[in-house]
Amino acid sequence: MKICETYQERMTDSLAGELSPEEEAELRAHLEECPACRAEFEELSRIWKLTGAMLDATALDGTLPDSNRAEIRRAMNPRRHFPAVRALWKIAAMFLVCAAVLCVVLLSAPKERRSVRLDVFQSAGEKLDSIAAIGKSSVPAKESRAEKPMAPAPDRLPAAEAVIMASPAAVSPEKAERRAAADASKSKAPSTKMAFERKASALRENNVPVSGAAEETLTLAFGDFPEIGKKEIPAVIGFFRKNGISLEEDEIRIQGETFELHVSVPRMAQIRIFLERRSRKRN
Amino acid sequence: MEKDGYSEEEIEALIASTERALIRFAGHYLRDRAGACDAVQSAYIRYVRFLQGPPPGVVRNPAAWLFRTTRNICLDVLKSARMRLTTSFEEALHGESGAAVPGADDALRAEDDLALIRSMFETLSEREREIVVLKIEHGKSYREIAEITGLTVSNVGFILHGAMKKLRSTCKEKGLL
Repeated sequence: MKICETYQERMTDSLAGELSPEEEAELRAHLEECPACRAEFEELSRIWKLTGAMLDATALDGTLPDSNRAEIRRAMNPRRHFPAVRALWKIAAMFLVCAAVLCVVLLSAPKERRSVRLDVFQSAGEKLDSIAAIGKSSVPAKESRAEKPMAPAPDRLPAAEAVIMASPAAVSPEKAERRAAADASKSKAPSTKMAFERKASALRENNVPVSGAAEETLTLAFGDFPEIGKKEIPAVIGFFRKNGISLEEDEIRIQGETFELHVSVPRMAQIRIFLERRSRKRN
Repeated sequence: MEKDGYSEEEIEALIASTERALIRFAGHYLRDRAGACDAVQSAYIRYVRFLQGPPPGVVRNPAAWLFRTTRNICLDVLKSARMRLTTSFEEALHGESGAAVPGADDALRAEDDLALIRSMFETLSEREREIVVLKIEHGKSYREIAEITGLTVSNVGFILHGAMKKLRSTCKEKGLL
């Protein structure tokens, strides 16, 4: 009978505990009325219990042995059992901390007090030559309108002895010269000291710092730069910014009809290139 | 101790509450205690590694997750060993691990009934045996069985009903009922 087939499927669900209370009540009500279904439900119940007993009797009993537990605990704490790995992690962490501290120290140093000691790998003569060449091609400064002949190239200084100390912008050129002379005097060959002084003299004539410091000074006349307009620091900053050169306020000093630029060597090189191109266009 | 989104205490508690059932479950597949314990160990380790990530995993029903993983591990072992899913009935009844059967005459009768049921159980398909074990021995709901086996809930009920129908029919033929 169709109705009983429906209830037969529900018998399994009832034994499985999957019927809702309403469905369970409906099944129970039918079982009371239908002896055939009642008998079938009893048979299914017995088989259900026997199967459960059989499975219970045949199942493996007990808990995990200690060896299996140890493996699981090892998976939970992999680092505890690999001290070498942990040590490597510690070393790597220390290295990262040191690198971070070094970066913070280097980046937080104020600009005007930043001093960099450079070991020159090329000879001092080559270095001075290159600086002198830049100074020679720049726009004439106030002090040196007339070009003076460059001194002949000196003998090369030993590379190991050419240590150039950058000085803060506040150091006077005279002090820088004395320092350069002192450095040069440390060289073994007497002729090298004279060559350095000859070159230093040529550089001073072109308004180039002798020390080859990390910062350089350049004096320019407002008269040569009518585009700047007002003789004020913002006007100078604006002029150079338009030409792709970024300057800070503390890098500019106004002195009447002239203005001085105190910038790093790379920035000065950039300025000199700009000035050279400007000079060529004008000519 | 909390680490990476789980605590060791929680894991230990989960092991304590599930290891017996999982060993029994794995035993139906692999038949030997060592193999079953290794399979369960692997399941727990996979669980821990799943929680550890990266990224850290979240398990809604750890018990069902462990049953499913244990099953998969056992099936992999069976596949490689080409074993069939049987119960270690004789070993359990005659010495190794079995429930005590009360009384001599009753024990004999019960033993006969269990042997008969066991032989009929072996005639079921692997899928039917799986579902019968999960339902009758472990008391899992249809939904949990579906999650463990990858079947739908209605399919689980249908297969279970078919298995019970087969057992009832065979029992009647053998005179058990």
